[in-house]
Amino acid sequence: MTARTVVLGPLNRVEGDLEFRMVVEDGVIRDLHTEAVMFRGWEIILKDKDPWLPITVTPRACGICGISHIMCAVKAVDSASGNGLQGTDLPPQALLVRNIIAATESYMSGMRHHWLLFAPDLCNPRYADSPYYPEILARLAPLHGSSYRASVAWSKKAVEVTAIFAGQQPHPAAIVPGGVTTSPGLQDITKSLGIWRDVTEHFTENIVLRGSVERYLEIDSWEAFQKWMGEGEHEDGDLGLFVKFALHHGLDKIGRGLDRFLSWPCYEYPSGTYWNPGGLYHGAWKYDGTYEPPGSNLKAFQGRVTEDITHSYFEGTGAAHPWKGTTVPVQNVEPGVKHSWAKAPRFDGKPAEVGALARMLTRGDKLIRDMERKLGPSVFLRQFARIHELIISTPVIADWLRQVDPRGPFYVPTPRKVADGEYWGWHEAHRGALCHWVVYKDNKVVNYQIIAPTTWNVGPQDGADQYGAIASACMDCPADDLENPVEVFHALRSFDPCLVCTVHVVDRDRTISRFRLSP
Amino acid sequence: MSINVFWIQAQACSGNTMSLLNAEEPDLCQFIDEYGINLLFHPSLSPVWGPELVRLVDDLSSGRVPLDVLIVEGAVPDGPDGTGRFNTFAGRPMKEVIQKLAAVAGYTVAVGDCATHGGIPAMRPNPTGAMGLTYQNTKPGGLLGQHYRSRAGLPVINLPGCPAHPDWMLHTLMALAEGRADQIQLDQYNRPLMFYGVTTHTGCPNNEYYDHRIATREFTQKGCLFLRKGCHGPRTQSDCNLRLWNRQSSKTRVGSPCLGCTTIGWPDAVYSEQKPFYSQPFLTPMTEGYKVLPYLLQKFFGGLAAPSHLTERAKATSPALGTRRS
Repeated sequence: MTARTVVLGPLNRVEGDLEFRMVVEDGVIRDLHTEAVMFRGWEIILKDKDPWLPITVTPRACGICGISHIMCAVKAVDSASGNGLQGTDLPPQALLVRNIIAATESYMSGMRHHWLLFAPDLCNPRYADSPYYPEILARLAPLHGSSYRASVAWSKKAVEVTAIFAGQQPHPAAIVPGGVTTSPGLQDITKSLGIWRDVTEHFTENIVLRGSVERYLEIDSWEAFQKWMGEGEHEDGDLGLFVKFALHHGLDKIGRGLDRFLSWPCYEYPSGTYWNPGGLYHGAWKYDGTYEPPGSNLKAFQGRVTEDITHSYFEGTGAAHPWKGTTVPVQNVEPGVKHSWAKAPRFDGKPAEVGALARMLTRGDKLIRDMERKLGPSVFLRQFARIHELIISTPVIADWLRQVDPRGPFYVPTPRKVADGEYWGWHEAHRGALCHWVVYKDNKVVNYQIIAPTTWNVGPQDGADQYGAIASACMDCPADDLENPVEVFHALRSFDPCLVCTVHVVDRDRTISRFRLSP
Repeated sequence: MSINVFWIQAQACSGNTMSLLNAEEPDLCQFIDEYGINLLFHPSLSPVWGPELVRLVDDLSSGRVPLDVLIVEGAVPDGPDGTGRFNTFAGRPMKEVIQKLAAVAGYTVAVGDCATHGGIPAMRPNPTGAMGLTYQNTKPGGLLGQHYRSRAGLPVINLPGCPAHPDWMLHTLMALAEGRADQIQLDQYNRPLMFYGVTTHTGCPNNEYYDHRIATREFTQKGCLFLRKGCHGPRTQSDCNLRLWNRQSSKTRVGSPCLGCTTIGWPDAVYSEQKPFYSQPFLTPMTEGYKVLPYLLQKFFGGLAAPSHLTERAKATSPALGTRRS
């Protein structure tokens, strides 16, 4: 059988414009490259502008997790303005309110990703014979399913809390160097607690779990989870239904990916610890299950990031740290050795997967670590970890709300003058590790580089021909049905790819990455 | 009767889509049901993709399938070198796809700043040649030109804002669905007056402080943000402070200055390195149309008349300010 080139696109339900080009032979994907088809030139716009401008401009790269961009941009300015590295010298209440604003938006994003972007694929006609199909359709059919609608209703309720502290969502302006602009009153706190209780009860407990969050939090292993499934109505909740469906249709065996996970420390506590400690995790499925925390030298940890341009349409070859990296487009944009407008982000020279699964594994979540060890990473585990994170963060956000003290302080007066030098700001967007790198000189932006989560996941090969996470995951998918390659879609969407966010990767010839999947 | 709606994203961040999902009364799903909205395509919400989508665009462009409402989110790039290939759709330049669809659309709606006038992608030096449907920054023209009229005889309905409020989008669509397009009054920039007919300042809870010139000197402290924190509220047309965002709040309600994002040409129309966001005070006159001397006198006497209880209340209701460690 001869190889066939198949173009999948324009794709929908990924945030941003994306097309896939695959070479398929005998039902096996031999070659695949993703083409993001939109370029805006963010870094060019920021060059030579005032050092606070990225706080307004960078979140507009992405209307879904814009607050994650604000967090990164602000932390870089804080570091350069004498507010401590990443703003850690700021008053505890300022950090707390920032965390609430960011976490509630991320919560919304998780809900919308699973129910609006990922789950509609479970309604694919491929599954028409599934014993679960009628129930799947009733709940997850786009625009009409009961859970689809509930996720629209309750995700917008969740961001009402974001708005109470930040004024609006999307695109608030309340997070500034020095803290936040807001001075929440007691009534704001009580109102938020009321809203959060409603979200917890009506969505998390009644729809996702069909049981209590409290009981769910006791689960610490895959066996304990299965035991939980057998209790009461748990297996009929959206989580239970997804688990039954995914295992029945083998979603736990496709889209395994790299099994190497990266996450940035974020959601700072005044004690210098983090709700999400971040770090590097080598999965137990393929590696040895070792976790490396970022340690006390955070600068050294981020310093291990490089961007490889061997296969990218930029002058030069090899890899460099974002502060040192150059972005000089080549004149000849014919695909060859260089075939992508993306740089390939690497950590210690190797690719990594980022996202909710990476956060849960690096933070040592017992259930997710156990599942990764026993089942391996997969489309199923990636989605499971996303829902799991929503559930376990529900009481954390309520706790944070209870800790807000209207007396403040929420802000430290911060001069607009930044110190010359190289800075970075990191945070976890819902879809994974986000970091801004900036160089300031004479109170102006000299260089601004963003590595968005999707860049990590969708990036191309590097000089050592190592695949990125999405390419790797797609290798595990059959491609028998080219008219309806639902497995490839599952694998792609399980990463929650956000092309609008992949700010500097794209371009002219539209190829952002090209993966050679098998020799 | 059903209404065919096609939503296309060009150089967009999905912010307006996310905003639309926050809509209340009606909820987006309810609206689609009740008004028989046939959402032919939306990049985040539709099951349609690939060859079927390309066919659909062809059918719409050729008139085989009627297009009642075209909604554009995102700026449209002209570059590189006038090819428009910085953004493509199924291999074709996005600008050509949108031109073809706009030519057959019953109504064309630009949601957000990017689709209206280019927004942030069009910010100096505008590396991709980004523009909106009828403006490029403050310059009339854009992709479709000022003389564009949709099949129903209307100009592009502009709903600027970064993002647009869900009500601005949904109630415009509802008015169209109710057959009341002729009752949508538009201002000189073709923004519906029902949303853009007041200043953002209207309804701001800091108005008393504004009237008596009591300024917020540091964030979180109660006072007016216009005087020292660069709030664009009194110079910006929107009903953010009447309608509220997410049913709860607005920028100025949480001490954030209005950034002026419903202004045609934002951000370059209001931003410069000499006048960055969050800082620069505005002097006079506020906007065209103000009489400078009476305005100054009014401000002067307003300040003189500041009642002492107002200053005291500002102090009593403000949280502590942090101090720097060093």
